[in-house]
Amino acid sequence: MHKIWVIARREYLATVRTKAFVMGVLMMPILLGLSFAATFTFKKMEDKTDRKFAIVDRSPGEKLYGILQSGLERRNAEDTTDKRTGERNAPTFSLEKVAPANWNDPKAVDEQRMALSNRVKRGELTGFLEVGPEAFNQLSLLNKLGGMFGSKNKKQPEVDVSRDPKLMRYQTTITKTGAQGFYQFALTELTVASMASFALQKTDEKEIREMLQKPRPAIVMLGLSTRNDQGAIVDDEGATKGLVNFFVAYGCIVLMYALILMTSMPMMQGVLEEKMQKISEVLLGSATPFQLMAGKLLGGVGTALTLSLIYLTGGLYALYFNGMSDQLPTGLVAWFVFYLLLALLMYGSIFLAIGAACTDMKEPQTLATPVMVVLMMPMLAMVPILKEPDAAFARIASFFAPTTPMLMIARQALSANIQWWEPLLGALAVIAFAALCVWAAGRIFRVGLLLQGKGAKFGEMLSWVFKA
Amino acid sequence: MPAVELENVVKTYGTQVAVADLSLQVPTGSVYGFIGPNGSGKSTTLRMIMRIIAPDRGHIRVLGVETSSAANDRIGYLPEERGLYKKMVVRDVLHYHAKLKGMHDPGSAVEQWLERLRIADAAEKKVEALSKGMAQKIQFIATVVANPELVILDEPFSGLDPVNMEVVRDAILDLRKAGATVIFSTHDMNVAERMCDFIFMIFKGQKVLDGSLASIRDTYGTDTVKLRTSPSADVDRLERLPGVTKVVDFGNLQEVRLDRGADAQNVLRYASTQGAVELFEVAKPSLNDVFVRIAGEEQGLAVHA
Repeated sequence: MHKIWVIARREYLATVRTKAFVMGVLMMPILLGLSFAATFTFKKMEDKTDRKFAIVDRSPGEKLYGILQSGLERRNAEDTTDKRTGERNAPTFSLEKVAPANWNDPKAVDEQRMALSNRVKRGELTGFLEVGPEAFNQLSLLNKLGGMFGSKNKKQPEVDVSRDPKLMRYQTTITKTGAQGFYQFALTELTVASMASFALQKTDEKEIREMLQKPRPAIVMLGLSTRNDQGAIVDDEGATKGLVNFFVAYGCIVLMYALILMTSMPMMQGVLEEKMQKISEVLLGSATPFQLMAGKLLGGVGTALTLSLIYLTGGLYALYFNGMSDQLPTGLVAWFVFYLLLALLMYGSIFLAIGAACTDMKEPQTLATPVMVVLMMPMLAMVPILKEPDAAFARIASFFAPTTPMLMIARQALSANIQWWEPLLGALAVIAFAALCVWAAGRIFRVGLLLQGKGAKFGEMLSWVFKA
Repeated sequence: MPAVELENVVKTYGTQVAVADLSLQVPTGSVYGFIGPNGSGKSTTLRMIMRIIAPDRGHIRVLGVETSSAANDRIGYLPEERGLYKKMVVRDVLHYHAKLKGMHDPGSAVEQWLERLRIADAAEKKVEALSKGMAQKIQFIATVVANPELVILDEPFSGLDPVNMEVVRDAILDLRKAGATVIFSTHDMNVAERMCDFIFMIFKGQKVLDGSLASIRDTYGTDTVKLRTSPSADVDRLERLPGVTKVVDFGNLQEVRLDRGADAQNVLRYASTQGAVELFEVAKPSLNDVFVRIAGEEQGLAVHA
């Protein structure tokens, strides 16, 4: 164990002291941002079917409906097609006016919310906007961000989102395409309209300028209505967390993918360089191949944990800073670290074995390609899985051991319906598979490390596993 | 108990026989030299002793143990091609290797060796900044810093200038004084002749010499005459003298090899007819001569200079 520790320590220090490591630390958030943007673009491109929203307008003279309806007509005519090609590039939005239930009868209001929620669940609507009787006269108490997440930000006064007549409620499920588009659209339209209305009433330029500095009208974005254990109709708590959960799930997949790449690839190259420079031959006089591989794996795990610490601390601080620290289940962080360790054992040992079986710097490109494809699978399958984390595809994929660490953690972050046994079963599958990988890689490593001349092929590597 | 014992060891690479039915014993506490031309099987044999490669057949016992693992804290190994982490600082590299050999606090040992090999100034340099000779000395320290009982050195003097060669040579001899067994391979016959208690020569995978220097030279008898005349003797005529089998002309000196039982006085008589005889010495063949006789002649090398 002493030798494994000595090797691990050297590997760790040799990695974290390099400029490449520092660059990697800085590049990671950029990569995350870019891939997030790419996914949203992809998602936007993917589904252009028309979207229907219901509006329950209690504003005097149903003024809001009028504003939004005329805004939608303009939007559908001008902003849903590519002006050059004439091709459709965004879904059209349409409004269905629903007669409001009596505001003074809370039960009737809840029932109406429940009925509309059921229509959203059935796919008849993408979401519905409910305007409180005093909403349009208010320049809302909530700022935009607080409104979106419905969080208990200390900067905002406590409000009863169910009963406050000054609020506008927008209920939807976050994963529905177009749900956020309508939210943004409504927010912009109403902001412009309220400002215009205010400006028309005032003639003093100074007053108008002051008004522009104030918070804008806000729409509280909420999950669909559901019945709690007591049978009462409530807003779905889980769904209000949807967006945060979506970010967390997305971040988990990309972060884990990047951490595996940032640690496994240098391990592979390191072994190969040691082999080419005959360092391995010297080391083998002091440590067994197993000690060498274990030390390198441990060093890689240390590197990944350091990176995780940096990013997770940054992420948690960002959530705390925005008053959303209560949105992140702490258990998820523990699961993330647990799965990351297993993923590193799996992929790290395989990449180490590949490095040991090669004899020049070009060969790993061929041998590592199939492993890279498997490693990238969760990235490629991310969109449908994030959209429907409980669908059969997501479930099956999350039990496929090589992809379990990334997909199970994403499902845990996203889905309220995930069963308690699912992460446990996934963990068992990954533990078993990781043990198999380390065992097989150890055998390949032992033979490959002393192989000179031509590099090994897959068949040979397999034969080393069973013959060694 | 011998430090190393090989028994009928065979190693082949495809159809190429690298080592054929090799048996040898390295006495404990000796300096044992491996000589042989390039590609004769020296490194393969050393690597088999290290268990870095496994023999196809035969038995290898090292320090009394027959094992399959290369990792052994009782052995220090310096491979033919040097392997050091280029980006690491010299002192860190040495600490790393010492710790891998089981030393818990190698600090003072590392400093002593750095002083001893006159390379303390380079302790804070990165390995990549060192000259070939300096890197060689660092690799040597990494091999011996943990006081191994058996030291295996594959070409330890390559890349060293005469001064550094002397420093390393003295260090090796001191290791023997301290009780270690040293096996090293070399192309330099002078070094082997001066340092080794026993010499083993391998040629085309076969053992051709094995024993003390004296016993090897005795095998060839007193069959060499070193001759210097003024002006230089006519080599062609020398070769035609009765009992002369070969003449190696070094320009100012000729080495004449005689048949067993031939009379060296014939050479002296001829030399005195050529002019003043400055040197006439009847001697046993040098190790270099023995090496060339075995390797050079079989490979068809010109023995005449």
